[in-house]
Order: sequence, then structure tokens, then C-alpha cells
Amino acid sequence: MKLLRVGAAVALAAVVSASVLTGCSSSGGSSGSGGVVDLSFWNGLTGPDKPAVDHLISQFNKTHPKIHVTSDPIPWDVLYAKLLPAFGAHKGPDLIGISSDNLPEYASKHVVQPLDSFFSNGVAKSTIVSSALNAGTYQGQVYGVPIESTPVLLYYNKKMFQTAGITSAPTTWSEWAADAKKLTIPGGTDGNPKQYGMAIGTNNTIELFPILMWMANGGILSPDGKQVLLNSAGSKRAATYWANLIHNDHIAPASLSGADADKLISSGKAAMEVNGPWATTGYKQAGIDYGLAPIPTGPNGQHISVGSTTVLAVSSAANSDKMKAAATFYAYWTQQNSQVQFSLTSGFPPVTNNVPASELAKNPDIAAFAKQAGTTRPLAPGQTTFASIENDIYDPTIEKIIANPSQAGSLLDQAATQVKSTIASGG
Amino acid sequence: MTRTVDHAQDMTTQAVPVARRRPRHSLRRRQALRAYAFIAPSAAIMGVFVLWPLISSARLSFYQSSEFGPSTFVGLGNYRELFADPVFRGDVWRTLIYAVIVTPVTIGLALMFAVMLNRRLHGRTFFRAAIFLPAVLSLGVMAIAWDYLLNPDIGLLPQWLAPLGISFGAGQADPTTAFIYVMIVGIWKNVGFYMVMYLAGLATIPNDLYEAASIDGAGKFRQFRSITWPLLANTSAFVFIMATIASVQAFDQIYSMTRGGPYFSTETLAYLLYRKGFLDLDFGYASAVAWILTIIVFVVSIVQQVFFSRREVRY
Repeated sequence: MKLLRVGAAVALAAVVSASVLTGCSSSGGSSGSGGVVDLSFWNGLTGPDKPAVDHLISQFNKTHPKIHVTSDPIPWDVLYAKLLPAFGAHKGPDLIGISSDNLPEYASKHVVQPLDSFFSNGVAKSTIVSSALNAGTYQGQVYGVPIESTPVLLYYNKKMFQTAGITSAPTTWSEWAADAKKLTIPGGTDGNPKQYGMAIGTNNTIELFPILMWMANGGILSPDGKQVLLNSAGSKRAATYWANLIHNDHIAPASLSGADADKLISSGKAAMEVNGPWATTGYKQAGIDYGLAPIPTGPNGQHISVGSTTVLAVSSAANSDKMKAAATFYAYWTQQNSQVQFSLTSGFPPVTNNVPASELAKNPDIAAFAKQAGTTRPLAPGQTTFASIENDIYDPTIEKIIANPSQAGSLLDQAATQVKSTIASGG
Repeated sequence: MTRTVDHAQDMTTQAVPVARRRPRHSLRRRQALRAYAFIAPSAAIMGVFVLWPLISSARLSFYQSSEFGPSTFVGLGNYRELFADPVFRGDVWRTLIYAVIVTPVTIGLALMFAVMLNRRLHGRTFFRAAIFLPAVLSLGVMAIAWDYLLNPDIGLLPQWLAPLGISFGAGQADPTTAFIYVMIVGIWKNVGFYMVMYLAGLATIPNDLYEAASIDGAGKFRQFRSITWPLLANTSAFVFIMATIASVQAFDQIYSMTRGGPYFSTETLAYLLYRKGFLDLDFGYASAVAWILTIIVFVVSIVQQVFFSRREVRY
């Protein structure tokens, strides 16, 4: 009796912990019927860009009776959690839309196949924005073609700027820091400022800190992805400078997720944020009168932004018919009309350079993002362990530095060692 | 399950005289077979959904696997890596602290509310429902609401409580405060459920014991200490084991409120399992974490079982 009861309690406990690791299956296999090539397409495009994606796909299906694309938008974290197990169980989709940062992991495992044949099947390589095309390249081959690609820019609350007597957006770090301090107004609850100069997401977001490090000639990795730059003098300088502003001058709350940072902007609690075009919809709805400017330049004086690119990749299991159909789909996606329409409905700049400026001028926000498209860099080029580097090392380190700016040097040294061993053991 | 087996044995003893002609073991065998048939459906379900995942996760913990392509056998590699990882050691420590604080506080409050709401009281049903409600709501969703409420910049609670001198400081950005937040939400979620358990336990205590005690001059507190608490021992045993298991596996509110941050300060073993498995896709490592967690729960449950079985009461 007693033993059985112990057993039952233990079994119960075990179910909960062990079953967490199992519940991963999926539907999504597909096969052609009646000469129609079915393409299942899993993606994380669930934001304000979803209507634009849906519209483009339905237009494509209408005009291409021999191909049928079925889009399955899944929140990013769930998508990444289920993709590999789904492919492992041979139930993966034909097409995936994932962040270019995560692509190397899939390419290195041969989950997805090279797409060079796309360019002899109706896709004009030269029309695609080159930084976006590079983002989907792994070991010299294109594994992912960009379906969305954008830099991030500085959003600023015009009303708060006016109230503070600031007439234009900052263009350098020193102006930026001065403005941020000026826009930080004490007198909120619990000794916190009533208004923050900035909102800076340091986890679960497209982060600002790597950009700041690039601006000081540092970064996470060198552009070829071969050298760890986290412990470089530039990285340390940038981290210390901004961590001090947050920790000592309280220009922004510490340890915000991207969503929390956005909330502060929407609720009029913070004046500036670096963010992508997906934020425009929410801020407009919240009645925020914002302006957009390039991210102010740092010690090296260069305009730099991070490229947030979603690439289309094709499963290794897809046969040549599906590959051809996928190429046709992507050719449609990148043709001028589609790009104009997609851009204007989603708010993202076009992934091709064949869209005339007059079309983009209809939406000044898009024009602003498109203008900076040439300044982007990929976050961790060619890294197959990007998720681990970001979640387990980079984000916690930055948050620790913000809580303890004087330790920036040693914390970044430690982080660099960790990144090196992660790269060495992974991939 | 135990009951079915006991019952079958009872029937055997009774049935023996009737079946004298037949060899005794044949009847026993048939009855045993029948008993197994009764157990079979549950056993099959347990086997497929409990035992098999347990075994396969144990196997997985000795491999390096992303659940795609061939897995590499690494022996105790995952475990060795685990014990060398300061974050893992911190997570074990935090998981234990969480359990040691949250379990008794939850049970203490549950018992307090149960005793209070066991009396005739205006609005008793309302209070019972209000305290029980969180138990049936999704913790993941409610934690998002709590996250909003407690946010030091845009939250309602800091706004309302500031005039009373109650400070929330930097809120979720402060490692200690963030950990207290996830504990509070964890307690809030479970108090109602255990309160209902205790209310059921209280209902089984015969009223004449209290009458006799009060005639002997025992006050309310003495009655609680000498009658209520000892006679609730069986309920307490169940509640303690369940609450401990729930505490050791804290996850939902951590996922919704802090994602284990800032810098792992609210990360528990269950969250580490999620992070390693589903964010880093290192399923072998995550399985090793799952097994460490299972072993911790196993040991704690056995210790509790031994402790409480000595205090079992019958009345």
C-alpha cells in the first residue's frame, strides 16, 4: 500500500516533468493532388504584417492555379520549439519563414536546402537588397531568401521633445545621452522617474546593445563570424557608457523585455526607443505622435543598424516540383507590384530595390526605414548556436552589466569565454 | 488500483468452499487475470503516457540530440556539463528556496482560510469562491495580468500603494523583488485549491469532540491545537506532498512574468528545462535536467511519505 502510494506520487511528479519533453508532434505533410503542388508554409509572421502576408498569399493562389500555398502563422517561440522535432518526425512543412539569425542552425543540419536554383527559375537576384540576401547565406550558399528585411530606427515622441525644448532628433551619442537625461523626469512612484528618456529592451527583443557595440568597433562577433569581439575594448566601452546612463542616470528602466519597452512608449512613459517598423501600428493606435530618425552615431561615426530579416527556406524533403513551385512563389513575392503592395500594407520596407521612391513616399515611415536598409549588419553571422548565445550568454550579461556597470570589463571577458566554448561545442 | 487487487483477494477467500472440486489455483488464476484485465486500460495509458516518456527521456539524457538527425551518445556528458554549470547550481538552489518558502506559506494560508471559512459567516460562499477562483484559472494568463499590475512604471498596485508608503522599487528588474513576485503569484494560485482540501478535511471531524472540549474548558486555540490540527493529519499529508511537487515544478508564472530573468535570478529547474530544450534545442541536456528534477521530487516525496505515514490518524 504504502509503496504503491509513494509510487503514485512519484509517477505523478514524473509525468509532469517528463511529459514536458514529449508533447511535440505536428501535422503538415503535404502532397500534390490533381497536378496541384501544395506548399505548406510555417512562419512566425503573426504581427501587424500578417494581413499583408495573407493578402499576398491569397493573391498568389488565385493567380497560380497549379500551386497552392497554405500559410500557418505560429508565434516565434512556439515555431522554433516545434520546427526541428517536426522535421525529425518527417512531418515538417515545405516552406519555413524564420529569422535569418536562426537559419544557420537549420542549414548546418541540412533541414533546409540551398536555393541557388531559385535564381534560374524566375527570381532576379540583382533586384534583392544585398544585405538582406547576405543574411540568408550560410557558408557561401543561399539557404534563405528574404521575405521581410528591415533596419531598426530611433523612434522619438515628438510631444515630449517639444515639451523638453528639444528641436531635432539626436545625431550623435553625446546628443542622444544629453537628450535622454533631459527627457528623464523624476517624481514617479517608488523613487522611479515619472518619465524615462528611453526604453531599452534587453531580452526577448531585437536588441540595441549589439548596435551600440558595433558603433564603438566592438560587437558580439566579427563580420565574418570567426572572431569573438565581446571582450574587445569597443564592446566594453559601449557597454560601460550605456550601462552607466541606465544605472546612474536612470534614463531607462533596467531589464526590460522588448514587449515591456514597447508598453512604456505606448503609455507615454518613455520618450525614445530603437525599434522596427512593426511598432508603428501599435504606437499609432496608442495615439503616440512619433518621429523616426537613424540611430545616432557613436565613436566610429558610422551609421549602423541591425538587420532584422525573415527568410524563406525550403525543406530538404521538398522534391524538384516543390522547389520549382517555391521559386515561382518567391518570384511572385519579389515582383514590383507585390512589393509595393506588401510594403504599404505591412509597413516594412521592400526586400527588393525595384520599388520606385515615389511609391514609398506614400508612407514616410516606410521611406525612412528603406533609406537605412544599406546600414544593416547581421547579428551573429553564420552562427549555428545563435539562440544559445543570445538567451544564455548575451542577454543575461548585458542585464548584469546594467545592474553593475563597473564590472562591465570582467563580465564581458567571461561572456566571451562562454561564447567561444558554445561555438566550439555546438554546430 | 490497490483496492481492486484487495477486493479480488477477498473474493478468493470467500469463493474457495464453493469451488472445492476445481483445483484452487485455476480459480485464483482466472480471478487474477480478471483483476489484470481491470488494471489493463489504466496500465496501458500510464505505460504510453508516463512510463514510455520517462524511459525515452532517460535514454535521451545520455545523448546529444536536437530531435533532428542522428543523436550522439555522450554517456554522462550532459550530467557532467550540468553539474559544472553555475547557472544550474543556482537553479537547484532557487528551486529549493522557492519550495521551502512557497509550500509552507501556501499551506498555512490555505489552512487559515479553511478554518475561517468553515464557520458561519456573512458572504462565506463569496469568499470561498474568490479564494478558490485562481485555482481554476490559467496561471500563464493570470501571471501576465499580475505582471501588468506589479509593473513599477505602469502598474496599478505601485500607483495605489505608494501613498501608503509601500514601495515596489525597481519591480521585476530587481532580482530579489522579481523572485518575491513569482513566489507571491505561485502562492496566490494554489491557496484556494488546498483550502478546499482542508475544508473537506474539516467537515469529517466530528462536532462532539469540540463540544466535549469546550465543556472541559478548552479555548479556541487549544481546540485547534489538540483536535483540528491532529485530526487533519491525513489531509495535511496529501496537501504537503502535492504542494511540494507543485512548488518544485514552478514554471508558468516565471515564463509569463520574468522568463527566468533578470540574469537567471528567477530561473527554476523547470524553466531551465524549457530554456535548454525548447529555446536552445538541446534536448539531451534538457532531459538530464528533467531527470535531476524527477529525482529531487522522488526523494522529497519519499521523505514526506515516511514522515507522514507515521502520523496517520484513524477516527
